[in-house]
Amino acid sequence: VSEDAITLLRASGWTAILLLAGALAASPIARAFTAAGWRAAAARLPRIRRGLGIASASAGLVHAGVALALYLGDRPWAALAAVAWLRSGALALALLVSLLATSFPGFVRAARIRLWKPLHRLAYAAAALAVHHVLLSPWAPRAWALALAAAFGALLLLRLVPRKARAERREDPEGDASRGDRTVAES
Amino acid sequence: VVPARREADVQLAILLLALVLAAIGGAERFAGFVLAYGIAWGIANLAALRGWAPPRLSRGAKMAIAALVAATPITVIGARWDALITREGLLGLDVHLRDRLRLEAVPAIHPALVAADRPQTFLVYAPGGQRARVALAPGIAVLDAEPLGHGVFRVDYDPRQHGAPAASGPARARIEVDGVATERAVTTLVPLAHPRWLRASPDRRQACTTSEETDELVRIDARGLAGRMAVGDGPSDCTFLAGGAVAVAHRYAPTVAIVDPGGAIVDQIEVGWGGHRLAASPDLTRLAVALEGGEVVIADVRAGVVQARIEIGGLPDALAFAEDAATLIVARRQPAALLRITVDGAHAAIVAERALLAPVAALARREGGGSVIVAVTDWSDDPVPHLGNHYVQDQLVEIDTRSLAPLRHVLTARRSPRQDAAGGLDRGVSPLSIDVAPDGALWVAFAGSDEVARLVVGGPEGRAIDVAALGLAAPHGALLLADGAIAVSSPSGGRVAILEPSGRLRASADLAPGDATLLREDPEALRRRFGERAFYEATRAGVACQSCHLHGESDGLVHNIGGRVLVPTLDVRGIAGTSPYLRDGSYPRIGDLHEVADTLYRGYREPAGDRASTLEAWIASLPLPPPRPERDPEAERRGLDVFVAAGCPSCHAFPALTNLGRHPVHAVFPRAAAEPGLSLDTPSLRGLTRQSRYLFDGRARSLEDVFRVHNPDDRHGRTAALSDREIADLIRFLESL
Repeated sequence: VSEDAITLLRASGWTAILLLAGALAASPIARAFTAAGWRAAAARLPRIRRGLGIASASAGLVHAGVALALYLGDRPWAALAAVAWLRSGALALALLVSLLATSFPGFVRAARIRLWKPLHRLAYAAAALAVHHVLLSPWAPRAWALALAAAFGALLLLRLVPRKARAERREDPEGDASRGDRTVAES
Repeated sequence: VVPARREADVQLAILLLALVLAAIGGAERFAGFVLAYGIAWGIANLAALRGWAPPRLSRGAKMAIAALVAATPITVIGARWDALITREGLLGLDVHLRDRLRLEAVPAIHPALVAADRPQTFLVYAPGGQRARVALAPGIAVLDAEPLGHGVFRVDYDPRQHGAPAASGPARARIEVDGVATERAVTTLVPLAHPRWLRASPDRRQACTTSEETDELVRIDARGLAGRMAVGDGPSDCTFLAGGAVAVAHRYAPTVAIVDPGGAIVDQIEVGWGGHRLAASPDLTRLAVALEGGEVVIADVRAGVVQARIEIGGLPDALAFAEDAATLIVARRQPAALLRITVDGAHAAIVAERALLAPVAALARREGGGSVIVAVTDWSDDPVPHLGNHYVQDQLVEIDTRSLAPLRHVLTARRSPRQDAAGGLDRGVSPLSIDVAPDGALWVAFAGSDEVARLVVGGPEGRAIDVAALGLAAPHGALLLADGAIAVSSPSGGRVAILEPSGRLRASADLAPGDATLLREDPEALRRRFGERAFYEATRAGVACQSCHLHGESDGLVHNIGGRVLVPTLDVRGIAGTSPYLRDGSYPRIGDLHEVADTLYRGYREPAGDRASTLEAWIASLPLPPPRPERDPEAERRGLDVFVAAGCPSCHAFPALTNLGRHPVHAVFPRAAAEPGLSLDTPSLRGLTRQSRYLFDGRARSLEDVFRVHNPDDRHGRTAALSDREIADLIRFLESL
């Protein structure tokens, strides 16, 4: 395996993962901006989040393409099925590609997707699988992998805690009235 | 359309449904859980399309329903948790992460074990560093590291020159790179005395043995300990000469010492480094020394000079003179063979060679020298090796020294009445020494079954003395003394003993503290001692770790131990801190290797203790073998340049020469005849020269073959375009590791 191939694999893989981390960080950052009164900046973040997610899946595809072409050899599929860290990487990519496809309103309408958010929460599963991938892959520095795991864990916690608070507010009928009904796909 | 305010309820419903589906579907991999979630989401989406919305319930009711629904699937999935952890490679992840983080934290040092009894070579990796100094542990002088280039430094440590740690245990190594000091965790080891091979004096009134770890020569007689004296570094073997003098070979000194009966060293014969085994001619005028570098040296005792040297193409192990001082029988370990060597003046030549299916574990000369008795784990007159499975059958074979043809056979590993499992073997396992008594009977030390036995080749079944209860577990040496007493040595017990002919203990010499003392004063040393015993202890299949990993080293063979692929036996010395283990990286902890003995080989013959933990403690205490002392720093530096340019450090990363990564087999060896799902652990390249087979399936017989023959696709490093000179330099560098 050439060093060029390893460099390409590292660059594309870490790009994909860091972009995914950025996408997952967008919502907590938006809430922080809102809390700080920077509403205009917060309003721009969902679009940035979508762009980061699309870029992450695209970088993941590049990473997989490089791995297939330059690393996995002539019989990649058996290796992908049998080797745990390759399997989790492939699975993470499959999830990201699914989320990529459902990031376009036209596709969402055509596929008759109503529960868009529960589907896109698979981004957290993709992140966990990506952490598993880098924790076991031969070339990823383990300190980076652990830092990544900690970052994803923190993002998940940040995501869960405000949800709980909001859920509690929604129990309040006045809260419901003030917000009005939105579809999940729109929220 | 599901209202946003019910979103949490929808999510909860999907999660619960996914849990149920995963439990029903028997998910044991992440993919199963993702699939279950996907199906649950699909069902929920379909339901949403048809206007379904979760019922409005109070928070308490929702939680109660969720708990009720989730309880069963969580229990079912929990029962499969171990399978999930194993299948997803998470078993022992903590150990792997600890080892890898230690190696990635630069400046990094390898190995992390500092042994007080032998020279060691450490590698320090400090990218960008120009100058490095290392204090390995308290009590050891600060050593200047030799820069090799590319941030790699070499530290040659010799406890005799630089001082030794005072006690075993955790310590901090101080690494100073360009004036910046960093501390790294290491473990110090001060080993206990290990008396191994026993040699009788010609009149059998005395016997001698050496303790390599404590640099001692030990004499015993029929009454017990007769003398204990300090000799050179790493006394590996001894033999009696005329007048009660004893010759001592040294592993870490280039000499054979001649020690008079009073304990004084009266002569030193320069033979070369790595003295491994020793034999005296029948007339006691010549010595034959097996050197680890692959040479056999014949020395004239009276003149104190080397007469002849001969390279035998592998590690010479046990050896004995045959009919006279001009003929020698040498057991070569890798590739396993018996050699007949004749010595004529300064010229020595191999005049006959017999390839063996397994290396010789012990060798003894019969009176007159017309035959030798060898202990082996496999034998066949058919030269086709037993590759089909892990084949071990301990046996003694008497071999004609002229033709090297077998004369007689005794299968020793056998079942005794105390076994109740079909096929269980618990007698005659791992013969490690043979003494041919004057009456022609053989006294054999069986380390695997803790016994010393008297056998008559071709005669009735012999009698055995169980020596474990005498503090002589895993005996390595046994011989008959003149008055019928039996001398026995036990390295793991740190003890030499004299037994009455009845087998009762007459006297013992405790060269190391007993178990009870260690339990009080050094429990870790006791754990290592128990682990050493477990290493030699037989399983019910008649196989011990020792059967293939000869005293921790490789037998040079390939075995099929799991039905997947033939794998060469690994040298387990110095493997600590490189999780995962085995060729496929399937074992995260050294102690897990105990599972092989416990399952594949049907468990140990006696139930006792935590062998996994003690076995790990002992194996982790085995230092890396030192590289060959001959140095060519310029060639090694050039070789390092080639190593880096070929991209080798991407996987064989400094300083351990492995990044502990696993690769699918065909990513590195596209043409390998292995199942595509096989993944390979990246092996450390340290101690590489102790092997005779290379690559994961042992197909390469030399380092040159690794690059020239077995890397046609240039995926195992970019070596196709290397010149002969570059390959030679690369090999020189690898040999220096």
